[in-house]
Amino acid sequence: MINWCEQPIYRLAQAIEKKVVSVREVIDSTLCRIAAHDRSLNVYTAVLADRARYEADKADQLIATGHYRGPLHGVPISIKDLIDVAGVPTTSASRASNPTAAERDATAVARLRTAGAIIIGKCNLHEFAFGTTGEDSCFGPTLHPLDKTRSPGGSSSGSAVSVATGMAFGSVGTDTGGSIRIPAAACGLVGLKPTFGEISCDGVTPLAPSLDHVGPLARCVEDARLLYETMRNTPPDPEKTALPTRRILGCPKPFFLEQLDREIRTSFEHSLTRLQSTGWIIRDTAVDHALYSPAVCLHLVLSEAAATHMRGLTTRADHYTDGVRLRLELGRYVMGEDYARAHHGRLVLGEAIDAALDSCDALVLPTLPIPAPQLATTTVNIGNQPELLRSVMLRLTQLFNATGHPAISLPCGLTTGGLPCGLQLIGRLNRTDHLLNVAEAIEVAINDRPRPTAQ
Amino acid sequence: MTRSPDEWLTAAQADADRRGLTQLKPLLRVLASATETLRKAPWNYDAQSSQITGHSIKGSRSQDDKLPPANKEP
Repeated sequence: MINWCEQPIYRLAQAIEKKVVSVREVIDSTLCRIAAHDRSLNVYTAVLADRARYEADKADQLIATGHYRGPLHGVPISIKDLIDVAGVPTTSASRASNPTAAERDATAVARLRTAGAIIIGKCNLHEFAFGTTGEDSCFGPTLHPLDKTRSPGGSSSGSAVSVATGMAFGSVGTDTGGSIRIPAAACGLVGLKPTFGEISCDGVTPLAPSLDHVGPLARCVEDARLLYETMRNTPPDPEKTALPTRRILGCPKPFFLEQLDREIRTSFEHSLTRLQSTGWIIRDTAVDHALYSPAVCLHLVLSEAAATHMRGLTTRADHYTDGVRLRLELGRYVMGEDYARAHHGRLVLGEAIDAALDSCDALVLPTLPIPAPQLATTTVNIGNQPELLRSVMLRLTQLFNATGHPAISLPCGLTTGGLPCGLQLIGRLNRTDHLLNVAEAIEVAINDRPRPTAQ
Repeated sequence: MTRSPDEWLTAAQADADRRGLTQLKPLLRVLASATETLRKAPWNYDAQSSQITGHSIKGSRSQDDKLPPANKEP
């Protein structure tokens, strides 16, 4: 018997359309999974069970009368609890958030519903999406499904675990410095941050508006593409979806490959070897000035987050978790002239990425320099050098938030301890479709991964 | 008011103490270090130089487009 909860969306969609399985059965199976694992992993902040069952019955009636709405018809999708779902409070995993129910769906959620998706629940996260582990949450931390002593990565921690464990078929997250790609890499999933602005942030609690992106977490590139195309603001441009022809990847070694955990490096190099054996050309390249990217990103995100949370810090600072409050307060000390320098820097770095992309289909680099970290860790050693965990987690992802380039994380094997590793691809601005084509081809070439399942 | 990162750090740490946010002090040191790095970046503009020392960026202002066309008219 097929366990539908572990199937990709595209396979489930075929079964729903052909009436091999009913939407009600899918929803009931998903709710059973949630009942079995949510309490131990702390994934959901709200499970919309009654509404989901009601919508499932309606979805089945539509199919019975010949009104199939497409590949998201009846598919259970989870939503990061930073994004509005009508009738449910958006908690942002914080006691400092507005406790009233959202009046309407965020634009991205509304588009998913119009396509037939069923919102199964809202997912735990790092408070206000301002963190990389998911630990600072008024609901408590989400735990890694393969090792409960570890973080699943964040800030879209619950979203990632919901998909990795079959508690949802896909999820919508947000990414301000890597918050979709980091948990995707740590949990063995695909996570897409599209080009800046391609998916509306309307109805999404802002963190740093010039860095915030909305995007999908999914089990495969095809599912990520389906969710992305459904949520995006404009229809796909056939010219931009042409298959990659060059099969050339640029690997930016300086800065990006300098500080990696040994097993992450081994896994990444193994993936490159596999790609080369299937005809891909890997060229060494460089992103000029990349070593300045942490300083640029830090000044941008701190300033903008402090501005976004000015009212909260003034009126209810003690409602935030200690870690998030301190980082928000830190942003109030950034000088305006340094924000201007950082803004200039993001333009320079954007051009450097464009130049590195000139002679290849995409840039290829790891997503996370380390495997999923132990909970309650603040520093990690890479090459005997202690570094702040937060800086390490953001090192390979945050630059592309500052420049707006599309980026996707794919699973690329496991450590000897069985923890997933992630490979990241960076595409040209406004060419997310092309990046997805490249990612799909690469996924086939390196795909030998087992699916993570809950303990 | 303009400050070197060291002067800024001293003032910011004193302010954090005054506000009872002593836990902020290690984070302020991290930020000061990042600010120092940012200020050393080769792309920063320097109005004291007769040359454009900043990295040229498409869409950003260059010597040729500092003024809107109307202001270039005699």
